Amino acid sequence: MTSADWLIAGAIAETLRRSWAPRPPAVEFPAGLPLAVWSERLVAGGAGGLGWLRIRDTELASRPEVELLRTAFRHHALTAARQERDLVHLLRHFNEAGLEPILFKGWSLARLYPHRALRPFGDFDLLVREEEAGRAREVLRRISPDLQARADVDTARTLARYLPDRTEGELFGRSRPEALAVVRFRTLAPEDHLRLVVLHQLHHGGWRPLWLCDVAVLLESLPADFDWEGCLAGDHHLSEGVLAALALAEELLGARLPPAVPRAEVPEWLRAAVFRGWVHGYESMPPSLYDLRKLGVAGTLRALRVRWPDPVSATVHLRAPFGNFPRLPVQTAECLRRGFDFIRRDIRWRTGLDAQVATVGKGVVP
Amino acid sequence: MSPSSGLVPRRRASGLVSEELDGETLLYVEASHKAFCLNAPAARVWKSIDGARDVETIARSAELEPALVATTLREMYDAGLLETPADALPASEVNLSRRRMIRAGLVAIPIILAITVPRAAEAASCVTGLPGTPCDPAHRCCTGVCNENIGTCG
Repeated sequence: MTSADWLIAGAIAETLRRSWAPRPPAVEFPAGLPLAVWSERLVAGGAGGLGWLRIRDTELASRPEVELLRTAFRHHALTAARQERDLVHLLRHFNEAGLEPILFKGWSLARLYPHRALRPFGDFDLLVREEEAGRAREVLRRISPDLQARADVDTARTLARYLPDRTEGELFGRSRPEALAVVRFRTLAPEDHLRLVVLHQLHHGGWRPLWLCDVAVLLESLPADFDWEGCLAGDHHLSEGVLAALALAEELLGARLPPAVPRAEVPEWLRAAVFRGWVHGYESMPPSLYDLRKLGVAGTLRALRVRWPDPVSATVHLRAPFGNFPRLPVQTAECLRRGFDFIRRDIRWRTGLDAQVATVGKGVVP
Repeated sequence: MSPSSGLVPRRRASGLVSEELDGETLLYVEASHKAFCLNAPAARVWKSIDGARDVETIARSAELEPALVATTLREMYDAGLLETPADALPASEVNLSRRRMIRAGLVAIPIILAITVPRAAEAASCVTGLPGTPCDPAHRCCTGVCNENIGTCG
């Protein structure tokens, strides 16, 4: 991280600090902040709408460098309207097939923000029971390709990548029934949802500032009878990560942690890694390593560099402690693990030994 | 064709999403996946298009010159917001630089802005292209590894 990176990351944190609250504090930007980069990073991190809300009544709003924030705000408002309309349509298809899926992340989080232009979401995250997966696939086959591409359907088995310590019975047993217009669906219990939202972002290196805002907004929307013991039950290592992320949301964004939350320290590496992600983003589709001849030397080096594991996801995947010791050994070990995993999987694919493990939705419907 | 020729413009009947925000009207055309922002004068024109009013009536309702309304309708058609055939629309009779007019303070001009933001603003984590899911040159993998012989992500 260069000093310019720290400056931008700090300004992003300052911008988003209590940005979801009815009366957020005035924003004070450091001198020399590259406004164009700052606004571009906010938009890339999904927080363009929140950024615009903070500055739209200031003289900064007329600067051309921040026009992107206003555009993002408009775009998010429009896509949210479209998503809300289509969600009803999608859920009606599920209801007609006798299914009441659990709706999580995306829409469930967006509704907690004071304005729907503040929390963009591209997909409908749905959870169905394993025994319902076949019917869910049928539903997806019947709907338009456009809607199908936005429906991301999981079972507890596929969701285990984020919540390995919650069974289908637990998730559905604790879920809450809800209705929207005439359609019925369920939402995760707040204890499971908070845990999922935090672990999801740790799993992905916490590179989106919006994700930490989600944690903050969720924290401040918890019911009075929220069961912290239930939220932190299960895998101790993951619970340690949850507490570290909650502490980070308090430190960087001013989230108000209820007194019942066990206090954790924010490791220095976690703060630095999250800041780095906010500034540098995340390449979700790195160049394929399959055809190295096409990539050339420079391309291969770049493809390898973007695969270097970030400290946050490496810590989660390797089950390393969240303490304040250097992450380089963890990242190195994670890199080796991924390399071996890649080779093992490739051999199994080539020899036809591996069965396909697929999510229910999105792109796996034949 | 004169703007007062009695032409009745019609909005696109389906595939439009609209949203009011801070005095602006936002429109999303699903067929083209394009989004537009209408400023207040353009929004007045848009709201006056009800499938019954002709251009002159729309101009009166929107409190704008018929020539400006004609230009706005042409732009709305180009944006995919209208069903009215292009050749039925009145020819644009306004030939002024809008930028110049705005700079001169004439802000009561209908303006239609295209809205584009990076896809990354919505796409969050790697939810497609997970190991085991189908891939091809158009559908890449999060891992960057497409087992091309069997067509799934590695």
